[in-house]
Parts: sequence; structure tokens; C-alpha cells
Amino acid sequence: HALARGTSANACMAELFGKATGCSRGLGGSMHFFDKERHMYGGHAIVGAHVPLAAGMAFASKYRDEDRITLCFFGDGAINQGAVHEAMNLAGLHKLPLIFICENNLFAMGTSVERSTSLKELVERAEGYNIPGTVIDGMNFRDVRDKLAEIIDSIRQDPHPAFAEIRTYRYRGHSMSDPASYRTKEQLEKFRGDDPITRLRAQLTREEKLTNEQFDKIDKEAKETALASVKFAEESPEPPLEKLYDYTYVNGSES
Amino acid sequence: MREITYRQALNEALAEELARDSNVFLMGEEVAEYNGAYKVSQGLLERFGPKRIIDTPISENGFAGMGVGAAMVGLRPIIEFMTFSFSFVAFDQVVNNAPNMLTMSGGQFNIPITFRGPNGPAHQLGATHSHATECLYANIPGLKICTPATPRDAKGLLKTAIRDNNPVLVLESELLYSSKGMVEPADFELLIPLGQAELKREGSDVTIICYAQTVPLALAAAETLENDEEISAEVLDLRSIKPLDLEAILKSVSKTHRVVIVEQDRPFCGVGAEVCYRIQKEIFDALDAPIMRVAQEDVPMPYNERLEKAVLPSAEKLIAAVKKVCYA
Repeated sequence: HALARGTSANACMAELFGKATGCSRGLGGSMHFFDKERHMYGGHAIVGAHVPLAAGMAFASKYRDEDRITLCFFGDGAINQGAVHEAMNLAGLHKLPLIFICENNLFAMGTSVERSTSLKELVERAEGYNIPGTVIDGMNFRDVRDKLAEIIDSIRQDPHPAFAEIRTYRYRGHSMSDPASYRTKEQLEKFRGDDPITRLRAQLTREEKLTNEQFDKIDKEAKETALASVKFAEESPEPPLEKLYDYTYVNGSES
Repeated sequence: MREITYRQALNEALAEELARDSNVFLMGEEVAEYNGAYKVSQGLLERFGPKRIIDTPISENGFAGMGVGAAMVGLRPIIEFMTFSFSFVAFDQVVNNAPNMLTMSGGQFNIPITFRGPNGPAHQLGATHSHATECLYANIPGLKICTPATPRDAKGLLKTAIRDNNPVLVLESELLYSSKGMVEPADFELLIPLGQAELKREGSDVTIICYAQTVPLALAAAETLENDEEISAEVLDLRSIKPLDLEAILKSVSKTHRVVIVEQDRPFCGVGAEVCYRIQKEIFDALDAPIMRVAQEDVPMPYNERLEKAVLPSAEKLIAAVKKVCYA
């Protein structure tokens, strides 16, 4: 999400390394990416606890009569958190310009959706709060782009919250230490076969909008950017020890 | 100066800051149409309208989090908890999101939010509604905490809290809302800095350290001690728990050489434990007696009036502790 907002690969990788050049100066870590300049408001790691914050940001847009829409991402695992329910109710009540984007990858760490949620489809949650819901195929780039664009247009015409369940998958384990033994090889292979980047490539080459050579070049450049960012992060300085106390409180007050 | 209630002082502080800065808004349960569960926000809806005085559903986690989010993008929310016992439902927002954001974002996002409402035991509210939360929140870096005991302090501290660029908890006292005291005229800009204790009574034999609703208790005990025991007690009101005015504490204790801390929270890891540690660490040689603490008993609050009284700090318990440190 940070990369999509335009945060550089270097700043992201350096943050993963805990370095001073990271997007959160090495103080946030992998779970807490922030980039104020690019309107990237986190990176939050208590599952669901950030969803009320998004409601607050959307509230502020409405309060100041600004033409802004807040996009709040969370996973299928967040759907049962009280904070998410409360935020959805408040957003519905105040007609906040906010899109709740549930990236449903079928597993919250090791617990499958069927084992965690009483609903058949997560998008049904939105109905309970009088929020329009949309299901989006997360393995299809254009479906994501087009359907989100439609939602955004409708919010711009008449501010309201919306809910999008984006169905996707996670190829790797939840973390470095997760062998992902809770799912089958067949399921993984099925989704890998449906990979959104591979699909987009096929579409674009079929439509002659991009050649295979051009695509390989983009792929190569992305790999180079990633490798260069690792080098950048490795060579970056640690956050200074003498500044340990500098970020606990901000000085001064609004006068 | 004129005499007003603690409730009225808070109301004036809110009204003045709302009038002064359009980024300030008040949000909480029953703050608008009901005029506040304890009438602190009386008349504010009428004056400032529903855009800025906002009733919420009973949804503390949700609206406290909304406040933090609005603060991230530059608004200055005042979030009222009907009582701080209910802030536990929003604990994650108060201890995780509000105070951690500045560090987690590498200094990019400060959270200029005020959480306010009554804190501490009132009268026969039972275990769930009687929490004194100051010791819990004082453990969290990134939060500031003040505990006004008088109308003047209530007004001056709340105004300062609203203007502070960090999350500040203003822990009011239900039992003090109707108490009266002298406050500067309404048009006087009364700002009391956070982290500044105040001597509420001068004395020479012992320092009584107190805050919030233990201040009137300490003042009453000091009168009795003067009249009945010829013990001259100095009463130091912390006013802020964090930052703590260590300088004022050490100055008073260096003069009296004896200390009793009377606090409204529980004894285990209570505010007094930290104050006690700091005193002995800095001026051990100045002490003529071990430091005593008077706090609640370490039990969930019973409903029964007689038992509740036994749990709470009282003038009798305080006087006994003072006599002990004075070897009287």
C-alpha cells in the first residue's frame, strides 16, 4: 500500500531493516509504515483497531468540507473485531466518505474464514450497517480498478461509506516462521495459476497494448529496484541512540 | 475573581476553546442533546451546533478511535468518556493508537487530542463504575495526565490540555462537579501549565501530597491536625500526574522532612509508589521518617456504603498516617 501511494522502495526496505532512512525513521517497523507527505496514514498492526481511525479521517474531510475519500484496508481476520463494527456503524451514521476494503485472502494467520466467520460472504456485513457492498475479484487487476473507480465516483457525487470485499490469496505464510500447513498444495497452485500479474500480462499482450519484451523489461526493473533497495537499506545508518526520547512527545502547543 | 462550580469552570473552558479554534470539537455519549451526563457540556450544542458538539452511540472504542484519526489529520478532538471506567472499552485507542503514533511514524503524526471525563470512585457505583485509572494511564509513555481538584485548576488545565499537541487525559472528579471555588473573570485567559504542582496550604511539619478528590480531603485533615494535634501540614496538589512536578515535591519535602501521599487509586503500582520512589532516590537524607501512603484498599469496589467507605482513603486514615510519620 505504501508503494502504491508513491513511497519509495528504498524508504520501505529501510523501514523493514529498522534504519533511519526508513519511511518511519526505523521506529515503526514492518507493521507501521507511514508517509505523511503522500497521505499514507499507516501501517497499523492491532487487527481492526485502525478502522475507527479511518472513520476519524473521513469525519475530518466532511468536517472541513474537503473532497477527500479515505481508503481503509483490512483483512478477513479483522471482520469480527468490535472496532470494525463500531467504525462501520459510525461511518454509516455520519455518511462518511470512506471505503472499507476487506482483502479476503481466506486465512487470518492460520484460521480459515469458514472457521472464523458466521457469514457465508463477508460483504454481507455491510448490509447490517446500511452500507453498500461490492465483491471484487482481487486476482483481476481490471476488476479491482473498475469497481473501485465506480465506488469512488458514487461517493464523490454523494458522500457515503462503501464496503468492498476483494477476494484474493496469499502465496506465502503469514510470517517468516509460518510453513502454512493449514492449507493444501492444490489450493495454492490453483491461485498461483490465477496470478493477477500473469493475467494482466496476458490481457495486455493479447490486446497488443504491451509486448512481452516490454513486460520483461518492467519485471527486470522491478527486481533491480528491489535489490537496490536492499543495498540502500543495508548501507543506511541506524536511528541515533541519543534521539531515543525525541519522539515520545511533540514539543509545544497550538497557540 | 468570582465563585463558580467545578462543572461551570469546565464548561467555560470548553466554550472558550471551541470559540477560539474551529478545529476543536466535542464528541461523546450524551454530550449534545442531553447537555452532558453530568451537565458539563450544558448549552454547548445550542451555541456551537451539531457539527461541533456530537452525540455518539455507546461505542467508546469506535468514537475514541475516530477522535485519534481526526487528530492525525489536524483536528483537535475533545473526547468525553461518561466516566473513565468506560475508557477501558476504548483502552486500545487510548494506550495504543493515541500515544504510540508519534513514535511509530518516526515523528510524522502527533495526536492533539483531549480525553476527558470523571475518574475515580464516586458514591456507591459498584466495582465497574468506580475505577481510578490514573495509575494505569501514567504507565503509558506518550500520554499526559492532569487531575484538577478546584474549579480554577479545572478551567486552566482543560484549556491547556486542548491546546497541547499531544494526547492529554483530563481526569475530572464526579464528586467535585458541584464544588465551588474562586476563578478569574470569564474574559480572563486562564491557562495552567501541565506538570506544575501547587501548594494548596503551607506548613512546616509534614508534606501531604495529593491530587483530584484527595485534595479537599487533605485540606480538611490538615485543619484537624493543626487544631487537634498542633501538627502543621503542608498540602501539595500535584495537579498533573504526568509530567510530574518533581521539583515542587522535593522542595516541600526538603522543608518538612516527612511525607504522606494520599491517592485515590489502588496501592499496588499506584501513583504514590512512583512519587515515593522518586523522593527517596533524590533526597533520602532529608527524610526523618519512612514515607507513608494512603490509597484505596486492594479490592474491587464493594457497593455497600459502609464497605465502600472502608475501601476509600479518608481524613481519619490520613490523620493516622501523618501522626505516624510525625511519631506523634
